[in-house]
Amino acid sequence: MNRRSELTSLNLRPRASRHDSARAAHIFLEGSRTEALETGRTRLLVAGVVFALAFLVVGLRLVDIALFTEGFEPRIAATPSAPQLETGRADILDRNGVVLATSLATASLYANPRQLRDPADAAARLAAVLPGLSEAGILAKLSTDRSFIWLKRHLTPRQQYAINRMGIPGLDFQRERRRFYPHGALVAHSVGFTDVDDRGLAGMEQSFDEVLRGSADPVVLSLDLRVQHVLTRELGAAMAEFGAIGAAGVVMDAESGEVLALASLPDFDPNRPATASAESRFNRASLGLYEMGSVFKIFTTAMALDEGVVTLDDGYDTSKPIRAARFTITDYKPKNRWMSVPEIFIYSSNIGTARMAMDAGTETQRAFLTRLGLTRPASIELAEVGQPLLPNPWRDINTLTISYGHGLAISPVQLTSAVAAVVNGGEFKPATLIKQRDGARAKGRRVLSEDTSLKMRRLMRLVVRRGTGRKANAEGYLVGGKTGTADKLVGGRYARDSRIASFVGAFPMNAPRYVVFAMLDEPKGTKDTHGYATGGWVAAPVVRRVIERIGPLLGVAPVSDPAHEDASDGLLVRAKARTERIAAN
Amino acid sequence: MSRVAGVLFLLTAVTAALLLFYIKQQVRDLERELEIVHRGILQHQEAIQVLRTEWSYLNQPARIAELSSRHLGLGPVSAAQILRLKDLSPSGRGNGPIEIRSAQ
Repeated sequence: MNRRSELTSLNLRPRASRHDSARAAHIFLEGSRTEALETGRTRLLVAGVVFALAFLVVGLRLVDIALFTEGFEPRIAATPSAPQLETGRADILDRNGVVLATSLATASLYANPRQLRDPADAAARLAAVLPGLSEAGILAKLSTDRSFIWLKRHLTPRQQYAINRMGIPGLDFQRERRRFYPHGALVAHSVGFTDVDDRGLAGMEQSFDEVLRGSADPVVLSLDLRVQHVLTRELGAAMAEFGAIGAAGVVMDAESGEVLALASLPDFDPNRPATASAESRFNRASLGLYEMGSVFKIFTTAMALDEGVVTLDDGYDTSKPIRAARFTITDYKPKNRWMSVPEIFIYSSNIGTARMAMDAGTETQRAFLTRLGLTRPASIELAEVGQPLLPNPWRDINTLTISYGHGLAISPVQLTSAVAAVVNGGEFKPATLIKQRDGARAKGRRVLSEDTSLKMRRLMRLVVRRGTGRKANAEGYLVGGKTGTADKLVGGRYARDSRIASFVGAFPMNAPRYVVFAMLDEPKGTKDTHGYATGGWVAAPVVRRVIERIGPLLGVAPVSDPAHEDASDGLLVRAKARTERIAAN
Repeated sequence: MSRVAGVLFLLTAVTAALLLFYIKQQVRDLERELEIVHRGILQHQEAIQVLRTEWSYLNQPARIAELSSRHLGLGPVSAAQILRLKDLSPSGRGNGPIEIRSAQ
């Protein structure tokens, strides 16, 4: 019996199998055949079981997939997540969230003149919508025998809509991206601008280029647009009034080092950087280096007080000019008598200040100015930061001139930072243009004692109440400060008629919160100022007007603090008594 | 018996096929709709970006100052206009350190 018959015999129904078993019984008699049959049956059984198991597994898996696999599969098949607008470059905001720089998708209009049916009609209708283009100019472009020509780049959405509605065949739009600066010239120097390929070329656009390109999160600056506006406007008005060739200003938070406003005039429109002159693109506030003049007496006096070289009761004879090397140090308005330290400060005596610096010594002065960050570039995040011009070597004669602000050129940002450190209790906070988190106080570096800081605040308040800075007195805001007038170096010589007039002030002086600096480049005296173009006449009123306007904006409550005023006046009363004693002797 | 099972099986298969076809069509419609919605979202986001920029542009401080002085007659606040509650005395006469002046 062959294998096939055995297979059929197994598949037979019970009825047949009984017949089969009868046959098997018959077969049973022959031993060798029985053996083969048994082997065949076993093999079949094994194969059958294997197949049954396999089908069982497949069946179970089917049930599993059909009923129980929900957990492994996504509930909704491949949902594309909501699209995110890709602008390619993050926004720049001011501290209150006002957009200072943003990227917009724009449409640029091009034409295929070969497809145009009526170029004259198209030109007339386009000229009505596109104010910058003449009808003749458009017609000339549309009449060329080309298949592509740009008509206008970066349309406004309204223009695009109008042109779309005309439905002129042969006109089409190309989507492009463009960087916009809604506030134009107002923050041009700090925000900067980009080139056509969206690469930062100036300001924060340059120094934060990687950050802006790498993420969609906006960069939030420390600038306050309102403060910036006030500062720029007042500087601009003063520039026009005194015929100055330029101006710069800084408003800084004395506690955190945040720059609230940074102005440099003349300015430019960052939406059209190519049309700006190099002069207007120059950032006077961070890149410009100036010999600041008498404003430096703040640092000399603070150093002398902090090092214990003098006390507020000491003084110097200022009746004779100091002659050293080829310099003769004189006073602008000589008093020709013994003057106390407060008097030297408030009447801005060069002779007295130089003698103070002489007593302190060259090394002390260099170390002190270094602590105040005046010998290294400012830490501000801008790409345009000036390297201070130091005397090399730093001789004793330099010490004398630097004591009243000549022979060391620094940027307005450096000066403001240093003054902030003097008035805020003696901690130097690096200047920053990035908004600091509220409450997160930047850890400062102690540069002078709190006691010296308090004395300096009283002295600076005295300058505004009784001294050269009276025009900076914004009522209610306890302004303190120091005037500065420096002759400019023209061809290696100090020119008498071209000056830098500046004023640095802080308010309120009982607990200074903001430092304001204003500087005018080459102001000319007017009839109103009796021909004077000094810091006290030119820059101090700017600071007063700025403080009067930003005080309420920044939430500084107007105060009068008689205790503080008496304390500062007391300095002068003591000095007067001493002067009279000396005169009597 | 086996014929009934066969017919039933066929019916199930046809129903399943129809159902599958119907659902597939529905999914395709929904996907098309989703794409339109997504395009709409992008357009609106772009529009929002443009409007935000325009809002910022219209809020130029110089412009606001000009508008408020032209239409509202408002100007910057002076320190004399700001008083603290404790500077006001119950008698109605200011006895605090700050003088009360009427703003013109």
